[in-house]
Amino acid sequence: MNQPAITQSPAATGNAVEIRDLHVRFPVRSGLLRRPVGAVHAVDGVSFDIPEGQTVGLVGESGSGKTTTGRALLGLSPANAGAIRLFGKPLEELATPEKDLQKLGQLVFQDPYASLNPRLTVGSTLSETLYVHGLSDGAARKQKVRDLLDQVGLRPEIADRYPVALSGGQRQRIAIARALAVNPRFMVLDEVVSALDVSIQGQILNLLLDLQREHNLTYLFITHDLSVVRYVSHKVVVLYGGQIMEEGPTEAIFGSPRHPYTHTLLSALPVPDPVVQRAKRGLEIRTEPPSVTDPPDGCRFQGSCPFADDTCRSVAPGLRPAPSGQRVACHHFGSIDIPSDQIGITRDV
Amino acid sequence: MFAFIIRRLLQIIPVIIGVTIATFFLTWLIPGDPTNVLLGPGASEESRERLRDSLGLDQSLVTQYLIYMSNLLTGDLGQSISFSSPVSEVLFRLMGNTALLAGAAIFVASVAGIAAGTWAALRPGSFRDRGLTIVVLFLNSMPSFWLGLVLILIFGLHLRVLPVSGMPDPQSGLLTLLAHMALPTITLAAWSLAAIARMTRSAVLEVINNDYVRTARSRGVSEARIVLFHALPNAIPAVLTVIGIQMGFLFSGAVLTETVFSWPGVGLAMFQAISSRDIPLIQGGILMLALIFVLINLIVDVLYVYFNPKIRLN
Amino acid sequence: MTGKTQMTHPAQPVEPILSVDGLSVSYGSARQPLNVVKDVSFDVAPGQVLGIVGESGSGKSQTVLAVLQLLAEGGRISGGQVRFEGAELQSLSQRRMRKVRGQGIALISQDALSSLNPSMKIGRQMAEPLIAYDGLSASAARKRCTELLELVGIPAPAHRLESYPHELSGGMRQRVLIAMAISRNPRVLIADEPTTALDVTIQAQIINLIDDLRKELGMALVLITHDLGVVAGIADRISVMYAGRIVETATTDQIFAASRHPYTRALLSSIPKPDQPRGERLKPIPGLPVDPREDVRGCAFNPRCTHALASCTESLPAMIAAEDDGQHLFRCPVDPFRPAEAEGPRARLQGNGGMS
Repeated sequence: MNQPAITQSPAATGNAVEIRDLHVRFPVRSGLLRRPVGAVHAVDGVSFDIPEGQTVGLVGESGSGKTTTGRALLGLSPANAGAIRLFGKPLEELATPEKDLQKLGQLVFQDPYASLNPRLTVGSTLSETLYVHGLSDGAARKQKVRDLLDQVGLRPEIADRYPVALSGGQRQRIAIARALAVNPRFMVLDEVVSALDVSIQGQILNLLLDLQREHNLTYLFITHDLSVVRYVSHKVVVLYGGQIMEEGPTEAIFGSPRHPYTHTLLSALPVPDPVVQRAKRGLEIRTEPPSVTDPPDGCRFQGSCPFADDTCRSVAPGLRPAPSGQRVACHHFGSIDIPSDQIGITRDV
Repeated sequence: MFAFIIRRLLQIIPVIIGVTIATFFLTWLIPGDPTNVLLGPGASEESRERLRDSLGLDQSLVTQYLIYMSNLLTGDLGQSISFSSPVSEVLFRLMGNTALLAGAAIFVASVAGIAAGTWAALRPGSFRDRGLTIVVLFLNSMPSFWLGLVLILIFGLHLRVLPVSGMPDPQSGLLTLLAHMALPTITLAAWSLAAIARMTRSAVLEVINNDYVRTARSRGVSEARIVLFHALPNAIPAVLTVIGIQMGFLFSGAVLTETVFSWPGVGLAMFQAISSRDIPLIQGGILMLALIFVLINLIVDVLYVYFNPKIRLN
Repeated sequence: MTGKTQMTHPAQPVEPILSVDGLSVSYGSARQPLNVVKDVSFDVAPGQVLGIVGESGSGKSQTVLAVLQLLAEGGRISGGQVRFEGAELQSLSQRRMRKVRGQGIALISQDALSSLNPSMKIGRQMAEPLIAYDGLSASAARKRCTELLELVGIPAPAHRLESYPHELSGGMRQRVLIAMAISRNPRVLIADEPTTALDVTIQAQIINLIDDLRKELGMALVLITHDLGVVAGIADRISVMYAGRIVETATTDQIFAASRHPYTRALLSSIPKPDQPRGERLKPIPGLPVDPREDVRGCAFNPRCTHALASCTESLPAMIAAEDDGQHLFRCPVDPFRPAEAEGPRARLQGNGGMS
């Protein structure tokens, strides 16, 4: 990739997270001896940075590799190739002992119900985390649990409740409180509001922004929901078939998207406006995700792209800078002009 | 699918080795001089010496086990004392009788159990559902020898409609055979029937609350079709697991039932072997029952995969 | 104005094909019932699209399951009636009701994977009622199923008949479910969150497909969703549900441009706009979502409502008509979003003061 290698010290770059040419493959096993017969190329050469205290929105559909990238950052999906640095240190160095990495970076999932032990009260869940990481004991721990609940906007009485007695939004607050318990500097937020009602989503997003400001937290915000991404992210990375299609400042991605896939995503997004939605009714939206076990030569998006030609089918486009500030992996982004009345109507809303 | 079966077959090997080690050391678990046990206290020192020699008792434990295994591989399970013929021959001859009884029992238990469980699941909480729960509890809490004796009292001695003991000559016809089989089959099947009925009921209830059943209903499919074509096929894997476990129990349960009804099978022979300390026969019998248990489990696993297209096709 | 919205105009009264009147659904015992749907009424005219919008626990799914008499164990219709093509559905025999399902009113459920039988091939599932009830031969049913799969945009349809559900992608499964729903030529299609678990591009494709099929086959459509954006482009009318009740019902344009109920307003402003500047605080609705186990006195939204008055906690607000034409109804006595010029008399439709 045409990215400089990581040579500078973290203080100089100001990056909390640096990923270079990350590859994650899962073997596909078959036959009598369960021999690997192939591999799922979940993440295929992904590079980006997250400046400290900022949020990168990682956007993509199912199978795009967004969750795997997030897990790889916390050492939960072993990388086959590439380098990951957290706060200047290589991941391999941080990963032993495991607890050190956990204290630095935490993961919050989509389904808070599945990630909370149903047999433990909220208070026990939180104090267990504190205990495991050797943080505060006895009376101090009780106080710390109250502080954590307060930080995520819950009353102290909640400590005595079981997850089943909580609403989805409350459970997600608990999951965030548990992640906060170890005072992490970095959090991977994987579809944290997708399962919540719209009226509640905003509560959680506002909370995450407040926490970020208060603690100078760095976020990787993984989602398929573009409308949410725009609100929380400083930078957006658009993944498709395990590769980056377009990445750059949020304003550039949403204001002047350059990649045909980003256009498709934006125009497919339902907007609460009947006039816009009716106008989009005639649009044909096509996506045929590329094979993950046998990815095509050239551009990953070629199968669904109206502009694909022979070059796209043979040569993989590298990320190239666009005048509006982002980097785009498309052979044609300078020469093709996507009519705004056909794709990406959402831009003008 | 084929690879799966091969893999499962390979997994059986360590289990079988474990079983042979267990049966081999059975001899050593019995207190005192094995020759004393095998030949009785009155045997002469000369015959004891001959036995020690033939059994290789003066060799090391590992060598003895290897001898035992090499004999085993050639089908030699030793000499039965009470039948005074090779153990393999005795077991082979009696196995058919036991398999007949156990097969009949598992057939009755499966058919009646699945039918009763499904019937109850169609109206959960209804009179028939509660009735079934009570019957299941009753059957489950009743020891089979007691049930056997009660059946003998009622049908054999009181009503005098069914024979209560033994197995008829092959020449006496199918009807006579079935009549002799009736009571032992019911006795043997009772416990398994209850377990299968209970499992079927809960499996069907679980399946019938699935979204795809609602999809079928929303397209106007009748309840009868839903139960037959949607609920039962998806409930079967869970029921199969129970049937497999029950089949294993049936073979060991045959010891008691065959004794009560004097049915000339492996179970009765084992019972007699235990009372007469016929160690080689006990060893051989246990080994065979264990093998049957393992094989049945293999078959159930294969069927389980077969009924789950999602597993089968991956 | 499009032709669609004119259809709802009272100047051309159309006999509704599906009419729900005062429907209530309860679970549990008669003494301690859990009322999940309360006094819900709506009409759908042939060819029309009604969107029912609500969050989890609002009773939107229970409403349509009650229409089809497919409530889960323990659920029952505790009041009101449902009319389809003039016939009262609750008085129908089991046999007649089975005919209504599938041939009259078809359902597309939300989770396509769990809504398909995992151990039955697609072709067999699709064909089952066609062969069993519509008298098609096996080969005729197969031909019909191939056509249906082609109609919903599945490539190599004949091949797909031999697949099991888990072998298809999420979008494909949803298409199969749609093909199954239209297989017996229903007059009304009910789609219950048909796109919830799908990627945003697939979501748009599926919604467009459902709407295209509705036009092509002349069906009425009831589209249930939690996402106002999903119904914005295709619904003629929208009913907003909260805590088991319809709190506002109006034409789509009225809901988005001039909604009158505080909940509808709050819901609209809680959605992050695609052009929302980063860091500008979202406006979520304060408080907790509806808990059907709790029976809030008065207006169920009052604990979360920024406009609530003392009276809101006392009695259940009646449905009020926003204008004389009776097209726009809402349930709020405070009416904080009344346009300045519309100060005229407000018609009271019903004096239902207590909890039902």
